[in-house]
Amino acid sequence: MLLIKRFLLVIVTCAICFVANAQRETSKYEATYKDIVGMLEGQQSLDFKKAVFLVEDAYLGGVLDYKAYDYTLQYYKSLCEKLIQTRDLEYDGIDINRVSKFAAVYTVMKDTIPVIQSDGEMFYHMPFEYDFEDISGESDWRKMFVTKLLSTHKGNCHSLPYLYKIITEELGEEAHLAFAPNHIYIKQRCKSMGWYNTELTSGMFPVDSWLMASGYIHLKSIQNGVYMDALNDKQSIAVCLVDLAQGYQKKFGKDDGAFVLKACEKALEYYPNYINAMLLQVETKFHMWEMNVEDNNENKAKGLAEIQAIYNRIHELGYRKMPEEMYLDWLVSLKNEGEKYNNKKIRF
Amino acid sequence: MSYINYFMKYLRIKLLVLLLCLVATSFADDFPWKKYGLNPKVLTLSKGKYKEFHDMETVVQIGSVYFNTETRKIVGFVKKDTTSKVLSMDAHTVSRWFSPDPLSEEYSSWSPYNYVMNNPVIFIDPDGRSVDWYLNLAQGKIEYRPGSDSHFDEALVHLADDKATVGEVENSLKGKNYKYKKDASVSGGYRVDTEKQFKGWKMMQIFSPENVGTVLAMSINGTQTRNKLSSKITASSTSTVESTFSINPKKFDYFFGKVTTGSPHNVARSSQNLKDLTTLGIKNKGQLMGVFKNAINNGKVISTKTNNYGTTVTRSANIGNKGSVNVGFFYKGGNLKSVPSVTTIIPKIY
Repeated sequence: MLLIKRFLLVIVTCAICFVANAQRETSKYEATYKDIVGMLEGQQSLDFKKAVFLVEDAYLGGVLDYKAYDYTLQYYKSLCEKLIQTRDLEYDGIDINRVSKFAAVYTVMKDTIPVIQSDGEMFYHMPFEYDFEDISGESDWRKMFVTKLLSTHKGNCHSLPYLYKIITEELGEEAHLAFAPNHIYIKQRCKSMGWYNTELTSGMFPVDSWLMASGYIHLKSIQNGVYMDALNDKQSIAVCLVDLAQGYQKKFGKDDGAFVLKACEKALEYYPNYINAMLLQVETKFHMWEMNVEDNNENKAKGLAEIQAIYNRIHELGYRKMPEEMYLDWLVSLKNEGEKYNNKKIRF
Repeated sequence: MSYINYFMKYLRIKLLVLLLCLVATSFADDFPWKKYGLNPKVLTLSKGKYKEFHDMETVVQIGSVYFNTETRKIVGFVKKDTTSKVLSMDAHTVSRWFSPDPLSEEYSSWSPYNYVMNNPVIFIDPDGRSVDWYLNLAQGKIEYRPGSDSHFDEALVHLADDKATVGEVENSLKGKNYKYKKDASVSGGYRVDTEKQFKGWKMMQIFSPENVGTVLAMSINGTQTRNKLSSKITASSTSTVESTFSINPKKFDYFFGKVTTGSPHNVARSSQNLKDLTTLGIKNKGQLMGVFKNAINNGKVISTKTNNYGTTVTRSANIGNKGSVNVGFFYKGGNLKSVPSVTTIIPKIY
């Protein structure tokens, strides 16, 4: 009997701890939400670097150290500065100082650079590469994170352009995020050719037409600024807010939709045509509608009509799902590319 | 009896669904105006690699629902595929690997909305595929020649007629007051440092009479373009106008081991080609062109194969006593009187 009592006590204690822990973690999310909304509403300055950190820290339950994160970024900043000093860029526009910075960030992210330390020791700085494993972060959401990219040198089209933007902004220049379906890349401006695109997964400078064709981008979505538009500072922070919501959903599951919807609505206030916010919002609403079996028919019909209106708006804005065949082709190309880039795992 | 009725009904529904699916897929593959009986040549952004037509279907998938774009209503719910997580990436997840553009090297610094690299004075592009033009220095005028894109990539200039003799080339050079010197690496070839002599024109090689053609490249905007153009021209200059056969300049990449993407078979063949050609002492395009010329003029016919598209005649050319190269000449539509194109090579080492 005593044994059973003790056993029960342990169980109850565990359960209390678990609940308390979950509460602490959701309160961490609420605090992060407040911080980021503070940036959007003007109580705090817009700081993309910090917003990205906060989002990832919230998911990881507050284990990250901002100073260490900043220190790593400062290292890349100084590497860029050294690179600018030691090489001459072949570019004859009057904005060569800016473009040298862009080129340096790109080189640091995508090239192998020999670095000689003050003690004469030489090492190679290796490029940041695309992580071909678990591309959508299905089994591990940390795959999306800049902090993961910094520690493993492997990332995806979420973390790579984020890091590019952060380093460029550390150097005092601008880099704009831009969306394509399931994708982010960088848009920048220079005098010699105007707006140009920087692609960090495969490391290249694609022309707009290629982005349109390979991403199955509808003309309407470009006209509406859904895709291929350079984001401003506020929009980039709004994007972080939706990242926060996505992390929340990955961590606590789909059933608790209130936080996700709150974050999406706030993000859409500042970036009304943010397609991923709309998709996450409507999918969450739809899931909640599906789960809700208690409501009467009238309310259910009303709910569906509301959801239908959002899907309609998404379609109107020019969102088109890539045809299955094209997506499968892309997956195959991904596999081939992955084999080219990755070391094969050793099997025993 | 009722069982049979039920079965027939079930079968009919199945057939109907199958038929609908077939119609949907074949329709999706068609161009939008095919239903009006039109089948024009279509220029696309990815040259046919990707689907570029939207709104071909009434019912589309958005996230977890099927949406009818005409009635603007949700018409079905998507069944979640729990076995394959990769196949069901959330619509709002951002994590795509971006496929490189195989044409990114061409016109990479130009906006897709430019016409002839913003220089309509010296470039023309009648079919929208690439900048095709000639500046015929012999007559001092720019002209377009149909089909030139298969011989030249871009920005190339004619100095003399296709079959000009050595004397005619020299006369043409003298007529324009060019200083030139013979190029020892190519028989009957010349070099002209035209950049100094002719304002912005960049130096180019002038090849032997049968290869006369690609001569000058214009320097356009700054060094980068000029460098790019000059390297392009060197790359394609040997694949010039030839009366007896033609060759796609890109084939040289295949012959000289530069194919590193695409099917593993082609990559392997390409690197094997380079190895074998090096063993045979064939190091550059000029030498390989010589081999082709030898093959078509004196080569022994090894095989003749015909398929739906045309006839391939394989001829063998000896390379001293080191080995031989079998060259496949393709005659479009099987017309052996037409000008064939070189499609493949098989080097053999004795």
